[in-house]
Amino acid sequence: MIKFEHVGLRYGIGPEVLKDVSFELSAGSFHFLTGPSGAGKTSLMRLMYLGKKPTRGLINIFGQNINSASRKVLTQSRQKIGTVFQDFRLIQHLSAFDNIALPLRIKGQNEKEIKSNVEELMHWVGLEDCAKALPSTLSGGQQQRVAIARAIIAKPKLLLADEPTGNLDERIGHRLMTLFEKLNQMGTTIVIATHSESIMETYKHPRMILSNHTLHISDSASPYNSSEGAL
Amino acid sequence: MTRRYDLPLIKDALSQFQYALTAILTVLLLWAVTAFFLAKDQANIWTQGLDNTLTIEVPAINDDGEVIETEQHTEHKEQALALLHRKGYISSITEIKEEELKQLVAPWLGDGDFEKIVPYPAFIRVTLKSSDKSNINDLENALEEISETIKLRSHKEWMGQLLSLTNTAMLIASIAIALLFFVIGISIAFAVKARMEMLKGDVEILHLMGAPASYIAKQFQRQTFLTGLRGSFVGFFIGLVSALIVIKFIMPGSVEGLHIAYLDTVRIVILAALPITISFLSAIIARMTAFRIMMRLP
Repeated sequence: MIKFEHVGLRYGIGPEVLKDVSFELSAGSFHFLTGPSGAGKTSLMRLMYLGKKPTRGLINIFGQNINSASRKVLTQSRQKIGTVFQDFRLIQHLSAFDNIALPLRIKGQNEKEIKSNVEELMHWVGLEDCAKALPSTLSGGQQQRVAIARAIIAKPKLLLADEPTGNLDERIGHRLMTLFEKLNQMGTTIVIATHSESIMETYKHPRMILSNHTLHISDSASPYNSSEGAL
Repeated sequence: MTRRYDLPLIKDALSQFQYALTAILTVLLLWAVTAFFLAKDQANIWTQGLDNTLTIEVPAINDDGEVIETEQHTEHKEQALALLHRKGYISSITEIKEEELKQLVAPWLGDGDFEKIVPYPAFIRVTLKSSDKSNINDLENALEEISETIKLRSHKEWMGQLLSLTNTAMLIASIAIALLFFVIGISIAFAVKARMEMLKGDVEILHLMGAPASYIAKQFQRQTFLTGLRGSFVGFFIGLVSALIVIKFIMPGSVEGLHIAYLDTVRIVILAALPITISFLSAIIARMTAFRIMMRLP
């Protein structure tokens, strides 16, 4: 599903924010990406959601070499990835409904299907009363749920979430984690960047630990049982 | 169904700017096209009926300013007329009568018998069957054999200076039209560029969701087309009304008839096509600009 080989990333002429990162995630896996602030989690996520190309190394996603893939292939690959951004990145002039509907509209789904799918998901994430609300009128937690709903509406093959439960109360947070678990059981590969020990303790999944700009992978829930490199 | 935009492209400041700018440029464009048509009409009026027509002058005074003997002058004229009748490429020959000449010069010289002081030259108006240059050269050589004083003039040559004036006016109008289209293109490109810069975050989100460049470019294209259409139609009507007022009420009576030619069917179609042309041009440029900027994203 995802394969990184000796990947490095730097912004401009600055120092490398990711150094020699190598790992492989199989289809249908569920991982937590964790590490101290500034370790490069967001940069690693950015490479995975194809928001940036690496400055060195090879990235292979959905069987495509990203370094040499055509624009068309990259576009098609992005449509298979759902991303929850740390700052949500909702389009401010669109309603909650329209924000969630975006990936389906991009895929060209008809409006009737879009309405039914979006309404069902909004109900699921507890936003059924906010369909017409603009993001600026929603609370942080509601915005986060809109962002999550937008990321999963098109049933992506890969779901990347950067601190998806950060602004949510415990009940909603666990409800969303249950949703992620269900998506994972249906075959979606999931990577969640989080600092929350309680989430990682409750949901036992392997951890990708970034520290000093390099990646270590723990194949169990314990961060102390880790190995460098591939899973 | 109302068309939906994923990006906030309606009613923003740049939309208003584009709307106003398109309207103003359309007014200017319509005036430039009108000026072109008027200059062309003027040239046509001046040259109408002058095609293939020549005037042969048999002077009564030689190049040294001496009066040519009447008998010799008459002989030159008769020989010239005989020559003209022999040439198969000539369709009509009209000798301008002395009375007619007197009437022509009367406004300057009065009604006196001035031919006794300065004899009138003889003029023969000739129409050729075609505008073949070799025929004119042949005629010129043949007339020269009769007398070197005989002069052959194309009527179009007489209008040369006036025509160059109208041609210059047409050239300036054409340059203005081209420049206005260029300004429309440039302003649309920069408006789209500025708008994409303002909406960089939203554009990037759509891009990361897998929106193809065409999906995003189409939104800019549609918005630009509709704004351009509104702006250019408003500009068109303002321009048309103002141009008609100028032609009908402000231009002097000497150009009477000009406005009738100006409003023929073909020209109405050309003028009516201006707003559509501007809108399509704007849409194409918007799409190209958006595409080019999208290509910079990873």
